[in-house]
Amino acid sequence: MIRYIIKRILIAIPLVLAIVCINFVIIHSAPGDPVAFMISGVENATPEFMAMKRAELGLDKPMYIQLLIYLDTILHGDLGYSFIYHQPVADIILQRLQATLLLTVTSFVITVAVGIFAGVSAAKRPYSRTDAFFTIGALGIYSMPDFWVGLIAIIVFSVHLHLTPIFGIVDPGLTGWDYWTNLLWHLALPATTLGLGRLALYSRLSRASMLEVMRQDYITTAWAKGCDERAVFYKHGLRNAMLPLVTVLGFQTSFLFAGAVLTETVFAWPGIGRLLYQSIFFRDYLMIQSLFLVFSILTIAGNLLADIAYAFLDPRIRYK
Amino acid sequence: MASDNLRIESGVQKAKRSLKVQAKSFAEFWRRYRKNRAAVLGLSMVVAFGSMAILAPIISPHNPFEMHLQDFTRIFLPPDNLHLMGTDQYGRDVFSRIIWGARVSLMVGLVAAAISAAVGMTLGAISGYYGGRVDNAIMRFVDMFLTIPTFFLILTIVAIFGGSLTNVMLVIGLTIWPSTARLMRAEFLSFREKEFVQAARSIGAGDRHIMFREIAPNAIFPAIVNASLQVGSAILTESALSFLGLGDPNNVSWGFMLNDALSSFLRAWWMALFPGLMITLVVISFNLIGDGMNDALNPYLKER
Repeated sequence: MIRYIIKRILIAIPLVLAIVCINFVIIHSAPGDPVAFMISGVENATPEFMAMKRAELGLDKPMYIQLLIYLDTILHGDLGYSFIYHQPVADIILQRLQATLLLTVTSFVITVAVGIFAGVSAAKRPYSRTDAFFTIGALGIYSMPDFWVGLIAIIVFSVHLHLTPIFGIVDPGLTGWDYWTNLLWHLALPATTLGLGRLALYSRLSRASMLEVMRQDYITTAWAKGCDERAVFYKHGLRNAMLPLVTVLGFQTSFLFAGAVLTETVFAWPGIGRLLYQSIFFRDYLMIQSLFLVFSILTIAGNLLADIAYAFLDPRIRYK
Repeated sequence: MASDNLRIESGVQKAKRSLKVQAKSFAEFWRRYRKNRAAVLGLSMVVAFGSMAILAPIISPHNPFEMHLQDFTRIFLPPDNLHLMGTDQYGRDVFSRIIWGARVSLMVGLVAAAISAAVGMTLGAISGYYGGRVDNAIMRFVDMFLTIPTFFLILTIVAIFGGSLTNVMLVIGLTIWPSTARLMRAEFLSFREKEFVQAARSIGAGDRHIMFREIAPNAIFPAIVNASLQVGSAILTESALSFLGLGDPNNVSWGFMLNDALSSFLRAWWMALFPGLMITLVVISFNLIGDGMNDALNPYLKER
C-alpha cells in the first residue's frame, strides 16, 4: 500500500514541474517583458529598479538558465512580491486558502453523499417516472452556469426569504459557539450552489454505475442467499459501483475549483477564487499566474487523493 | 502505383456510389433522430437561437449599446411593455442585449468546438492508426492535458494575452480537444484491423486513403457527438470568462451581462435572471442534440 502511494506521488511530481514550465512559457511570451509582469501594479518604477529586477530574473542569461532560476525560486515557495497588496504573493494566497478549502470540501462532501444516495435510489426503480424526472432535472441543472445559480439563490433565499446572509464568511466580533454557527449559516448557500452542478453529474453516474453492477452474477447470488434489499444494494452493489465513481471524482477536482472561483465571486467569499477575480480586475498578472499554479497543484493533489482512495476501496490494486 | 490505379478506375462512379450510401445512412439516422422528442426540441431551439443571432439587427426593438447615463428615469427600469426585460445600470434595453448576446455565445461555442474537433480528430486518428511511438507521444501529451485544470489555463492565457473574441475562441478550442482525440483514437484502434481495412490495404490503398476514406466515415460518430457536447461546454466557459470580467467589453455577451448584474442584482433582479436563463437554454439544447445523436447512432442502447 505504502509503495503504491509513493509511486503515485512520484508520478505527480513531473506534472507539477510541467505546469511550472507552462507558467514560465506564458510569462515569457506575454506582451512586454517578464519584469513588467513582476511589477504589475507599480505606477512609476524607476529604471534602476527595473534593471535590478532584470538581473534577479537572469534575463541577460540564456533561456534554460532563466528557467532554472525560475524553478529554483518557485520550489523555494517564492511566488514573488505583490505591489498591489504590499505583501509576498505566497503569504496572501496562504491567508486565503483556508476559506476556499472550507468551501470546496464542504460542498464536495454534500455532493458525494447526496449524489450517491440519489443515484442508488434511482437505480432501485430504473425507467420509472421518478427516474425520468431526475434525469431531466439533472440535465437542466448540469447546463446551468454555477454563478447564475448563485445569483438567483441569493435573490430568492437572502433577499426575499431572509433565510441566509447575502455575502461574506462570518460576522465580525463573534467567538466560540456563535462563531461556528454563524460560519455555517454563511456557508450553507455557497456550498450548496457549488455542489449543485456536480450533484447532477454524480447522481447520474452513480445511477449508471449501479445499474451496471446490479446486472452482475454476484448480485443474483446475494438475492438468492436471502440478503435483504439494504444489504444487496449497499453492501454488495454500492461498494462495487463506487470504483468508477472515485476515478471520476478525481477528474472532477479541477471543475470543483473552477466552480469555486465563480461561487466565491458571487458570494464575496474571501478565498483564493475571489482573489483571482480581484486580480483580474486589477490586472495583477503575477497573482493570476501564481493562482494558476496553486489551483493546478490543488487539482493534482485531488487526483492523487482519488487514486489513494481507489486503492483503499479496491484490494486488487493494493496488492499488485 | 497500385493506389493510383485504384483512384483512377473508381473515380466518379465511386464518388457517386459513396454519396448515395451516405445519403441513405443519413436518412436512416434522421429517421431515428426524429423519433426522439427531446432531441428534436433541442434542434428546434438551436435553430431558433441561430435565427435570433442572425436577425438580431432587425428584430431587436432597441439599440443594445445605446446608453442613457444622464437620464435617471431610464436606468434600472423593471420589465414593462416598452422594455420587455427591463433596463440595466446604463439604461440599455436588456431584451435587445439578450438578442444580440446570442451572437457571441453561438459563435464562440461553434467555432471553439470546430477547432477542437479538427485538432482532436486529426491527432486521434494519427495516434490510433499508426500506433507505436507516435501513439505514445501523442497520448502522453493528451494525458498531461487532461490533468491540467483547463479552465484555469484558459483563464490565465486570456487574462494575459487579452480577451478578444478570436483569442477566446482559439484558446478554448485549443485546450478542449484531448477528449475528442481519445475517442477518435479508440475508434481507429478498433477499426484498424477490420476486414474492410485489410481489403483496402491488400489492393494497395495508401495510408491517407485508408484513414480518410475507409476508417474515418465509420469512426467519426463518437467524435461528432462529443463535438456537440463541447459546443455547450465552450458556451459555459465563455460565459464564465466574461462573468469574471475577461472578454471583449465591446461585444454583447450574456456572461458580461451577468457581470453587470453582480453589482446591481439586489435592486434589479431582471438583470440577473434573463442572461443566465438564455445560457442554460442554449447549453441544454446542444446537450439534447448530443444525446439524441448518440441514441440515433447506437440503436442498441435504446433496445436494452
